[in-house]
Amino acid sequence: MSEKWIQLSNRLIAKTKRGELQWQELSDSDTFQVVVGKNAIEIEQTGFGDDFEIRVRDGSGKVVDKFDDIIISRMTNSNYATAFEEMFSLIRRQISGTEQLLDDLLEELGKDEEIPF
Amino acid sequence: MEFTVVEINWDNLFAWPGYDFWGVVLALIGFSFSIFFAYSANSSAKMAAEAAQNARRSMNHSDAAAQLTLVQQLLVELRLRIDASQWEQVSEKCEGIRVIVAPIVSSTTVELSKETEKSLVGLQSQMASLQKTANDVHHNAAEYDVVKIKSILSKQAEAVAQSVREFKDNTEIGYNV
Repeated sequence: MSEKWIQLSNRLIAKTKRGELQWQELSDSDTFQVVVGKNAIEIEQTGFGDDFEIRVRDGSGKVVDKFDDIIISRMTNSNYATAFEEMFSLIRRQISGTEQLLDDLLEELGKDEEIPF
Repeated sequence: MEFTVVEINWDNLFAWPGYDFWGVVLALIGFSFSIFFAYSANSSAKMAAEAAQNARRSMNHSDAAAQLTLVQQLLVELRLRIDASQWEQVSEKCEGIRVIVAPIVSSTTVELSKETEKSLVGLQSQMASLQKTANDVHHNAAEYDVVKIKSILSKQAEAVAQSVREFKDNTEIGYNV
């Protein structure tokens, strides 16, 4: 089970970075969901905003599994809190359209990348 | 080494007792007809079975369309309940929607397109989330973002309307087959 949580986390992070997942807002504050096949995955920012819980819902909307960044970090001896935080921030920017807007701006401005210092 | 050549005496071949040339011809024609009719009956039975299957599929899609139309009405009611701050009823309606949609998502007799399946699974999660929000507001006076909730409900209503259209189209195709 725990190995699958790690795999699921890694794939969510990678696919979100590549913009391959369509995250949606939920009515709960600081919670987003993505539908994968006949199930849905939710990510919620909890605690003081530095913890993240991942929940898996089945087709009836029932939570069938959940885990958080703390348990994944402990199992892998890696800092998953930062990875989840980056993913969460990216999801927020994807939903608000900021990510697309910046991509459009960069494309308009061309490919010159002279470092100014 | 000797070889024996077998000769066929054609006069003797047809000379068996009761041989009648026209009788044999008629028997062969009769046999051909019986094969033809058996084949036709088999094809008709297959066509009838296919028609029955299409009718059943159409009925399932028609039933799913009716169920989702009810969900559309419940989504409209949800907006009104939220406006009236009736959070207990909001929670009940969310549960009601989940109960209606769950059998459609898990059904093996209703064919869902990938898009519809995604919409309905998304709706289930959204309703579970709204139910949690409604319970938090009702029991703990938690804060909520009414604009965000209504925006989500509008998107869900749009997705359900699309699913209803798809089911209705499938029902018509089934009846026209």
